[in-house]
Amino acid sequence: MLIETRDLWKTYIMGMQELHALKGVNLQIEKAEYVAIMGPSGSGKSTLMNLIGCLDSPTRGEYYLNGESVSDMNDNELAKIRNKEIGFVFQTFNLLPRANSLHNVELPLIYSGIDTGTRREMASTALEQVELLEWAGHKPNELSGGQRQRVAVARALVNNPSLILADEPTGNLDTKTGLDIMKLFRRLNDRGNTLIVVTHDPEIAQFADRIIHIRDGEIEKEERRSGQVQDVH
Amino acid sequence: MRFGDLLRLSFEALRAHKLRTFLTVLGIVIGVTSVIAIISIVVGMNEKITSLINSMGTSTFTISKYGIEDYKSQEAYREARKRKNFKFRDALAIERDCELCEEVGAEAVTFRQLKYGSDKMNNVAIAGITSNFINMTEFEVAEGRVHSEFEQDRYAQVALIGDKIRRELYEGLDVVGRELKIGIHKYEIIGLAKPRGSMLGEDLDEFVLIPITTLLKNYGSNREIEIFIKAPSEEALAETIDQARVILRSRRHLDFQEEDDFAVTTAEEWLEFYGSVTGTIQVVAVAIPLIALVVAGIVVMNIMMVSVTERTREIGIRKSLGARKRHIMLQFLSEALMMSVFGGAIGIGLGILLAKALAGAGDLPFVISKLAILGGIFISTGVGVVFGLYPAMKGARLDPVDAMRFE
Repeated sequence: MLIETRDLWKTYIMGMQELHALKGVNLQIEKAEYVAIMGPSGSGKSTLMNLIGCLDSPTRGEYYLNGESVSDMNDNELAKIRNKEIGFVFQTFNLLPRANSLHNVELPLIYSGIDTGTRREMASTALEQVELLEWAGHKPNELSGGQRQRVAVARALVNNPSLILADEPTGNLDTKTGLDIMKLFRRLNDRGNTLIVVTHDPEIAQFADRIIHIRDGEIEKEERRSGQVQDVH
Repeated sequence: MRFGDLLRLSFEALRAHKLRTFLTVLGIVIGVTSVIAIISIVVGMNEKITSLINSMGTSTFTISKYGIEDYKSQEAYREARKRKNFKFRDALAIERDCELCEEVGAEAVTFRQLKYGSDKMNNVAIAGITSNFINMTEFEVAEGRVHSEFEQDRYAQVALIGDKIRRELYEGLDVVGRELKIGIHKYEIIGLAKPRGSMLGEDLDEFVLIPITTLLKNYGSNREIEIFIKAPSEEALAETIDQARVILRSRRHLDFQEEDDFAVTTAEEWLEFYGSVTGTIQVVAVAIPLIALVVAGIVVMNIMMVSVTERTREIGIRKSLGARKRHIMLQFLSEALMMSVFGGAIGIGLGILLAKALAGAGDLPFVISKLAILGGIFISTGVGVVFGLYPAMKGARLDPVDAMRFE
C-alpha cells in the first residue's frame, strides 16, 4: 500500500466560522496505480491533493505514505518527503522563469545535496524521457505551453519519486497538447510510476484506471476501469 | 544543499537585478568607507600623539607651576598664573641636590620675529633649552649640533633651527654657519633638526632652539621655566619625584601643611589628559559614520523585503520541491551577506585611500590599522546578518501552498 488515509479532516477557520474542506476521507492507493481524483471546484479535491502531496497537514486523521505516518511530521520532515517521494505537476507549470529547462529539472536534486555532475546526468535523463533533451538550455519563456508542462513532468520524475501528483495538468493547455501530456502520463504509468491526477474534467479522468469522485469534502463514489486501456487517436 | 549551489543561487539572483544590487552595495560602500577612514585617522592621531609624548621617555617628568588640572578650566588657570615662576636656578638647585635625578633640564619659551636678510617670519616659538635636552628626548638633529654646556654657560648666540625655518628663510642654502636674527639679536646657526611633519595643521618644525641662558638674558629672565627631570628608571620614578619635590618645596618656603604650589606631570599623565580631551570627539567621530552604516543596513533590509515579496511564488515552488525553511533562509541571507561583504571589501579599500587623501590634505597622520580592517569586515558582515535576517526569516516561514498561489 502506497497511500492510506484514515478519517482525514481539514478545517479552516474563516473569521468566526469553521469551514470543513475535508470531512473524514478514507483513501487507499496501491503502488503503480493510476488514479484520478475528480470533483467540481470547492469540492475539496485541491485540499486533498495538498495533504497527499505533504504540502499541508491535516487537522485530524491519519495519513500513511509508504507505511510512514505523515500526519504528525514537522515541516522539515515534510519537506524531505516532498523532495524524495513526491513529484508535482501543476496547472500553471510553476517553473522558475530565470532558469533554463535543465536547471529547473535539477532543482529537487539541489535540495537533496547531490553533486553537480550526477545532477546534470539525472536531469538530462529525465528530459530525455519527455523528449526535450535538445531544449535543455532554453528558458520557460522560449518554450510552448506543452513543452513547459513536459519540463515540469521531467522535474517531477527526476528524483524517482514514489508518487507523481498532478493538479489539473492540462488546465492551461489546448486539447491536443493536453492529450499529449495524458499520453505521456499513460506511458509513465505503464513503466511503473504511481500517478494521481486531480481534475474537474471527466475526459482527463477517463485516462486513469480508477476515478475517485469527491464532493463537499467527502468521497462520493469510485469507478474502477481495470483492464481497460483507452486508445487516444 | 551544497555551499557552492547556495553561492551560485545568490549570485544569480543579484545579477538579475544589477542596478538594484549596485545601489544597495553602494550604500554599504559609503558607510564602511567613512567608518574606515575615520578610524584610520583617529588611530593614526592617537599613535602620533602617544609617540610624541613618549618621545620624552616614560621615566621623565616635568615640573611647572601649571599642572594638567590647571588647563581644564579658566579659573584654575587664572589661579595657577598667580603662583611664583620657577627660575633657572631652581633647576640648577635640583641638579645639585637631587641624588636620584639622572638628568635635569629646563626650557623657557618666547615668541619672536625671525629675520634673514630681507626675509621675515613672525611669531616663531623660540625655546631656550639646556644642552642636555638632547639626551632626554628622542630629538634628532639632521645637520650640525645642539649647543654645548660650555656655550650655555657663556650665553653663546647660537641657534638650532627647525626644518620649516630652513624652508622659509634658507631655501636652497646650507644653513649651518649662517646668521639668524631673533628679534634684535643676531645668532649663528649651528644645527638643523630632522623634519617631524605636522599635526592638526600645526607645523612641528616651526621652532628655534637656543641656550636657555641666552634666552633669559636677551628676552627677559622673569619668565616661567619648565623643568625636565629624568629618573634612573620607571620603577624609581615615584621616589625621584619625591626628592625633587622636597627640594622645590623648601626653595618655595612651603610649610609642612601647605600644598604644592607647582605640579609634577609624568608622560603617562599627559597621555591620560590627551585621552580625556579627545575621547568624546573620537567617539562622536566614529559614531556619525556608523549612522550611515545603519542607513545602509536599512536599505539592505528594504531590498531584501522587496526581493522576498517578488519571489513569493519562487519560494513556494522551491518549498514544494523539497526546500526546507533553512534552505530558503540561507538563500536570502547569503544574498544580503554577499552584498554587504562585497560592499565592505570595497569600502575598506576606499576607506584607506580616503584616509590617506584626508591625512595628506589636512595634516593628519593616519595608519592602516588592523582595527579598522577587522572592524570593516565585522561591521559589514554584521549589517548583512542583522538586516538580512528578518526578510530571510519572513521568506522561510511562507506556507508553500499560499506562496505558490501568490500572483
